[in-house]
Amino acid sequence: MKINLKGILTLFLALVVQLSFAQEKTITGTVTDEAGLPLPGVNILIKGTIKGSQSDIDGKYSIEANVGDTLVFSYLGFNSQSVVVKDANTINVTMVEDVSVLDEVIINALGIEKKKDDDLSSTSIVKVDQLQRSGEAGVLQALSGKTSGVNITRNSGDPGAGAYIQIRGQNTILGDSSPLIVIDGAIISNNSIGGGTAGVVQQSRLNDINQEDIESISVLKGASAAAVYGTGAANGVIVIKTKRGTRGGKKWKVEYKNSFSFDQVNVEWEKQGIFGQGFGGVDHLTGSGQSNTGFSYGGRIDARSGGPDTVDTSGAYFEAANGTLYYPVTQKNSTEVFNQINRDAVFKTGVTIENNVSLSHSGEDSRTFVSVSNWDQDGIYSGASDYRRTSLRMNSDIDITDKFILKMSSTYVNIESNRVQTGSNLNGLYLGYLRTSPDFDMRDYVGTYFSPSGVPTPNSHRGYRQLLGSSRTFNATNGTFSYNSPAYNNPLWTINKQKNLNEVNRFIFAPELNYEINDNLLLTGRYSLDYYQDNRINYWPAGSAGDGTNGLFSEDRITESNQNINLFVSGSANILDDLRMDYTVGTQFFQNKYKRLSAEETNFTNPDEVFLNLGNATSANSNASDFISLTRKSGAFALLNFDYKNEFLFELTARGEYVSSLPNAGMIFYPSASAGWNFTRHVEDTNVISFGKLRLSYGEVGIEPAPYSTETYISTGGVFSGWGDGYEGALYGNPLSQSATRGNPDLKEERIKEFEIGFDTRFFDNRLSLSATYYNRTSEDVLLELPVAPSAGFGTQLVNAAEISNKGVELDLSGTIINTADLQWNMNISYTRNVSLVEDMAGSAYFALNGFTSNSSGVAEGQPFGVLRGTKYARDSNGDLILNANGFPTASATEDFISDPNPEWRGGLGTSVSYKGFRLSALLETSQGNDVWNGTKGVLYFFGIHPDTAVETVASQDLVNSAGDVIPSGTTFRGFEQDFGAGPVAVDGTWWRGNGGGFGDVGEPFHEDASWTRLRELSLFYTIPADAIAKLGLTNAEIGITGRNLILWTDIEGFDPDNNLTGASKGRGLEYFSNPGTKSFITTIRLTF
Amino acid sequence: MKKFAYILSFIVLTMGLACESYTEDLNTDPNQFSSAPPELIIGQAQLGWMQLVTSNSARYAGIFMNHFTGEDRQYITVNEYSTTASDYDDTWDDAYVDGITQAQLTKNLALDTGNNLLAGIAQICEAAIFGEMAALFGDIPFSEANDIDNFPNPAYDSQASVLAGVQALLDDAITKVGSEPASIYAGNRLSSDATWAEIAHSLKARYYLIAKDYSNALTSARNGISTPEGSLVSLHTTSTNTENLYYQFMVDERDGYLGATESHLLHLLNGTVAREIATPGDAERLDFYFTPYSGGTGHAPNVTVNGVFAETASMNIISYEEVKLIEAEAANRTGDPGDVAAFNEVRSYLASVYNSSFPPTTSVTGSTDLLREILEEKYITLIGELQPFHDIRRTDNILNVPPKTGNVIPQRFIYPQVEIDTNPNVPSPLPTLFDPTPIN
Repeated sequence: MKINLKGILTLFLALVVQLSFAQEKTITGTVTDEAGLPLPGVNILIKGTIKGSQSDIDGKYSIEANVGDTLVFSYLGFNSQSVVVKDANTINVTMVEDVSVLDEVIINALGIEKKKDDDLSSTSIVKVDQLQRSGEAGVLQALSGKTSGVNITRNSGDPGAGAYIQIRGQNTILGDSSPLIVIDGAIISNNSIGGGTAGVVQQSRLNDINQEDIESISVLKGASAAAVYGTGAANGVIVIKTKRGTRGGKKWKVEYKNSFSFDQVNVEWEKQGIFGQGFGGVDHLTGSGQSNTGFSYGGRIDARSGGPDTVDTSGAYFEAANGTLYYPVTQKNSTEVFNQINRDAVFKTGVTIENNVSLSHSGEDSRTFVSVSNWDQDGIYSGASDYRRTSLRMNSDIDITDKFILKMSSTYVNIESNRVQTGSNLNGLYLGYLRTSPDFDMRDYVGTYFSPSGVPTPNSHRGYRQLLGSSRTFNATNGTFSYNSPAYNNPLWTINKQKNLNEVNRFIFAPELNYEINDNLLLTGRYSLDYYQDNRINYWPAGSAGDGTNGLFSEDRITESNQNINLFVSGSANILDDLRMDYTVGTQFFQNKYKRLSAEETNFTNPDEVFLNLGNATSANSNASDFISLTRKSGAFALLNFDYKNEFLFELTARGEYVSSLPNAGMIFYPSASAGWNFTRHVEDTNVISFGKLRLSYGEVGIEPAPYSTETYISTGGVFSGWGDGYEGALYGNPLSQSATRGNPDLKEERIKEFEIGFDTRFFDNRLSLSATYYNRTSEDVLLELPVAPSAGFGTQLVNAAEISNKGVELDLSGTIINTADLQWNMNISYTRNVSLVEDMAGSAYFALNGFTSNSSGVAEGQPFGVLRGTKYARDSNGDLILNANGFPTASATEDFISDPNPEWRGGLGTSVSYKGFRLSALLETSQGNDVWNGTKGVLYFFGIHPDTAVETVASQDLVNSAGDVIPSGTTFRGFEQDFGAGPVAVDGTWWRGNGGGFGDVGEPFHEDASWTRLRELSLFYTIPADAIAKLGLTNAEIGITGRNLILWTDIEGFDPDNNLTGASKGRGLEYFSNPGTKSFITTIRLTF
Repeated sequence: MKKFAYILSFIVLTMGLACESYTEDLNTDPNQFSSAPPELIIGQAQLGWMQLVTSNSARYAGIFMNHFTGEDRQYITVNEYSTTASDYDDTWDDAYVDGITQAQLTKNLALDTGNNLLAGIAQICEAAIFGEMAALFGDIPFSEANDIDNFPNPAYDSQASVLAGVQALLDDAITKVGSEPASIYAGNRLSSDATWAEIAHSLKARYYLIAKDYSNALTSARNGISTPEGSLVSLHTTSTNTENLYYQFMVDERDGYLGATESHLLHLLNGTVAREIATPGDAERLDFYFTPYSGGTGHAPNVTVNGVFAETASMNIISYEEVKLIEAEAANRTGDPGDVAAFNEVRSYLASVYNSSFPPTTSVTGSTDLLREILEEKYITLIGELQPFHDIRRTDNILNVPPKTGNVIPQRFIYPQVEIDTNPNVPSPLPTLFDPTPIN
């Protein structure tokens, strides 16, 4: 491989340095467009040579040529023109715009523009207006549904929530699954750090970029297009171009955008309002104790006598902030149901205000774009849930000489947000909210608890599992307060008293130098630095549930920097008369540095004040930890494009590189080759087929392992069970331990090999276009943390062992249905089908990616990537349920694969109708065949909160329930009759609390088809006629309204199946008390001066 | 100009390809160590041992043998004797990866540096974990365990040969530890006034008993821990994740999962079921062990400041009471007249602990009545420990402890999913919860 690369590179060198030419005479002239405006940057080439020139800012050019030479004028978006040199020394050319508006431009991996018609891979481009219409907070979310082959799922509707992006299938089990993000030549981080089954909804760093600054996004889906980046480009490349000042035209332009967005929860869970807190049909009475049952299996609320509950005022009580007193209940009388009241206390309409101003300037020898943007979002909870992003951008192009251009791209972003705990988390919003019994009024969530002897606990936290609020005692020996707190947070405590703050400061600085060595050889040098710090603080006041019982404060300081140096020369040559070659040869150095410093304190010394700092706990309860990593890559690449007669197109890419995390892998080489045939000229009736191209490509890309995986280490010890109890090593003499993960010195890269075939066609005078791609990609040597038999002394070992395949089809159809001066109607349809299969797992049965031990999303041989595994009901060889003595199903002894979170296909249908100044557009998106594990539903069964559990049945005969208790015929019981195969039985609380509910051994009944179709966007914009606003100095004014996520069609109840418990993780299809999704109404005003 | 282009291209390429040095020597983890002296590793082995005998295994065993009751969420199904293979993954990880591997690493490094004492202490820990695993699971990897280069899929040795190997390990350890006190290398994890040799003899007695080798059990017990202060116990503080694990589980992690409502142990103490010997002191012991729910509908293990599972309450790893009761049982079964004295020694010790009446036995030496009294006392005294679960299975439930459901108390723990998934040598067919282990 080494020799191969060197051979190719030598060939390039030979081409670069080849020869000179005869000089006859100087031709000069001006190139203009049809309106007579000068066209700068037009390429002028003498046919059959590599000799060429470019027009300058005034459209003027000069070139040495012989009489009889043919000058070829070419410029993106315009038809090429050939002029034969005769006697005249001046040749003025008027370029004609290429009528096919579909002559789209894509950006290749190196950020160089290229005609879509010449692209040999399936690169999609998303334009600024498509992003702007989406009304989404983040760049990632805004891409959703815009192109085939890309699956974007937002983590939740929480402000600032990140999103999951998957281009084609998933390629790696342990490696990075995010595409490579290149913005103006800078490689930037799209990290989403965190995101387990608990915590807060994390942000995706790509969403830091202000959408309004973006000009276009190219999505490079195929391996061949990405191969120039080698390791790290396995998940595709997203190339973003931001707005810049343009040459010519108006000297300056100011744009202003304002939008208001109103967000609401889009799908909600239903809760039963019939049975109260309690157990076995008996209402829960608070008695003298403090801990209250979590169940809602009490008596019928409507069967109570009415009026206030009978209380015992002789002992302990709780005084709410508003003065209301709560005493232990001795008799439940009230028939009030608080489900709606509680709901209204938790949710509100969130409001987002966005303001955006940009200025672009076109000067004599410089062009500048400056923007300031502010996004201020207040979430949908009646408490602290917000996201504020302020960004500045300055892009500047300076012509130092006519051959030497400096392009500066820089941005600064500041984000401040307050998040809300979610998921499998005693402090999670939904966990406490949904489990709360219908007869509990959660509004008085904070106050003062008074013990029977009158000792107060200030800032006491009252929840349905502790009706008198949290209390505390002082331990004089160790000088700390010890709290007794509710088992679950009152959701209002979660959103009002807890703080989960983060602040991000980020700057991206990317200077680029272009030096025109000669008319046909350009040197580009790029440096980029992407640096951010993400400071996170969690503050859970004492009296919170779980780990927050005695107070918890934690602080994380995450810093990441990505530095990239890119140096390449590019040029073109006419090798033969009709054979043109474009080449790029270059080198790249990349460095990633990451540091996370974390500190946590529990058991607050002084719990009575909000103290957002360390130093409020004894040293034993104050822990710090740190993680650092440094990785580098150095590589050289070459990119070679051949164009024969504008009909046959070839592209070869090669990259060789060294990767620091693979010290023993040597130089890693990635090849790719593509071919295309533009058969348009062979078409007889070009009125029917206006353009046609077949393309074929093969490419290889890679993924590197996490750093430091080649050695076995000794690290600090400690032991924990899956239940959370265990011994913290640091407090037990800090013993050291041989790591449970065994190092592997022989690691190599994971290699993705992709074959792709497709066509791009246009019909009926370019009014209809159809593209199709079939791809077959295989990930080989996929790294697997192979479980080692514990008896062999390790937990896991990293091995290049697995193989994953993804095969798929992508279709894009778009057309202009009506195209008159006043009325345009466009429509586009995209279809994506990806079939993933884990081909080989090296004998390992299963690797869990995310989720719980009971139900998880993971990888297993012969299964689709991310398959959902859990325990099924035991069945005999006929597939019939094995029933126990009571006639109920039993749990299978081992776990099985139950469902598949991957959609069978996804589709998008976009349409827009423009009439005079009005534009109405809509985007429908669908995902079919994706399954989800609905853990929330199972748990709501368990607690008797789900409406399915709130039915009463009269026993038709003597029945037994799951506990074996007999329910005599004619008795009314809470539940229903069901026949599992041994005659009717009584399904009641004993079943829901056993293997018929979410805490039993069996996950099977809660795996559901989560197919959905949604109206993702609906917008109406109006452009005010130019003459009406000219007086105001405006050149353009537009107002519009957008509805985002307005309608969702799905069989799933309770949540938006777009959510995923573990965020932007590789594990998919998990639902467990995750924060809800949203829908929005947005108003927009855009003014251009 | 072309020369310039040539040079430039050359520079670009050589930089790219010659810069291997740019990426070299960066792949050693700055966040972890590459080596450590054995004195620092023994602690992890001990934490693994402590976790194995005081964490989830002990809780499951406690529910199985009706000490406790699984009352909420997943523990409700445990209470119904419904567990799955993955429920035991933790146990194997604690035992092999956190325990045995670190103990053997300590031993080998200590032998390299000539620290025989430390090697012996590590070996005691290793033996105890192997012994406990064999008792719980039957056949387990022993001779091929923790040697991944040679045995990536360790074979399962027979339960009897593992227990024999445990005795050999302990014998060898005893020669290494001399008469050094058990406070050496125990850190702030373990505590005992005995010597390491006495601890080793006590463990020998335990695993002879489990193997039903009663005469050796008797000899070893008489060389074992001889005073209450000699009990080897875990140490706990109020700091997060140093508390008693029952406390952590019941208070910090899984409030309401583990109770004792209508458990057999509760019934024995509150008089619902008669004791073999009427024991007034059980009233005090009841208060120490269990607390009633405020609603008066049940009980929970006592995690209050004065309870058996208080935040900082130590847990027995191997106790004076256990060793004395092993001595009593082994004597009883082998015709040794010391059974009565050993049993009464425990009774009088309990009387002093609870400051109440624990009358001595009136049964005669060698009698089955006395055997039942000994085993019942052990069932009650060793609350929260694994040993009574082994006793019930070994004695074919001579005490007639009622199962939580059905007619049989589980006869073992089942093999973990993680071994089923990775090790083709895992016994086939897989035994169920109700298949006795070979020695039983």
